[in-house]
Amino acid sequence: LLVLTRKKGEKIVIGDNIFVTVLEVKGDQIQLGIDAPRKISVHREEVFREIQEENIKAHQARTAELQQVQKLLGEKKGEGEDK
Amino acid sequence: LRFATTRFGELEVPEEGVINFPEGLLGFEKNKKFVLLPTEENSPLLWLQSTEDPDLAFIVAEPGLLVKGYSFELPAEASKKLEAEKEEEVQVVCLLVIPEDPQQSTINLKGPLILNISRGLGLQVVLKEDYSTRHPVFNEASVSA
Repeated sequence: LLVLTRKKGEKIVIGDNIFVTVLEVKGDQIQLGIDAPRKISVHREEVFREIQEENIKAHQARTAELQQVQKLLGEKKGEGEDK
Repeated sequence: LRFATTRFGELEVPEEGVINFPEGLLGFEKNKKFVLLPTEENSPLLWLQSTEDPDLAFIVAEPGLLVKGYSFELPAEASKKLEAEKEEEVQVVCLLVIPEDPQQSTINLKGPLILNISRGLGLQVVLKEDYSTRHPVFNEASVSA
């Protein structure tokens, strides 16, 4: 792990085209500005992990459970039409 | 294109029916090629089956059919990567997680898949909008009942 110390307004460069600027430091919150090519996705780590986890949960979809959901959806639709 | 699947046996689809995900899905970056398959007649649910891994298949749905008032701004990088000039060119599907109790099924509204079917391209995006990765498909009342 590389550790660098930066002051407000200073930058680090990753590769030759990703720039990270420390914009604001307030207590334990740090605001970063990230300038990267569009093809590089930048996410908050926790959101990224959450979606990864949901994908992993979703990937073993089974036919039997799908059929149960189809049935429930059918009922839901039926209820809507009654009203 | 002919490929094997564990759920549907061997399938054959025209090349233009294959959707390329150049970045894969989060957690599944190695799997780039998928096809959309219908489930049942009149069902909002579709299978997203990998053509490379017979066992890899997700259940997806057009979110508008399951959730009211879902809308977001298409991230700029998405339209570029999908070679889409207009929003009308793309289609959105979201992944479902169906647990043992199907009443507790959830849909991931935070990380939808954006598809440009005519170009055969797909991309999973992370939205800025405040949506849940685990939005209940069936309303809370029916979940607790």
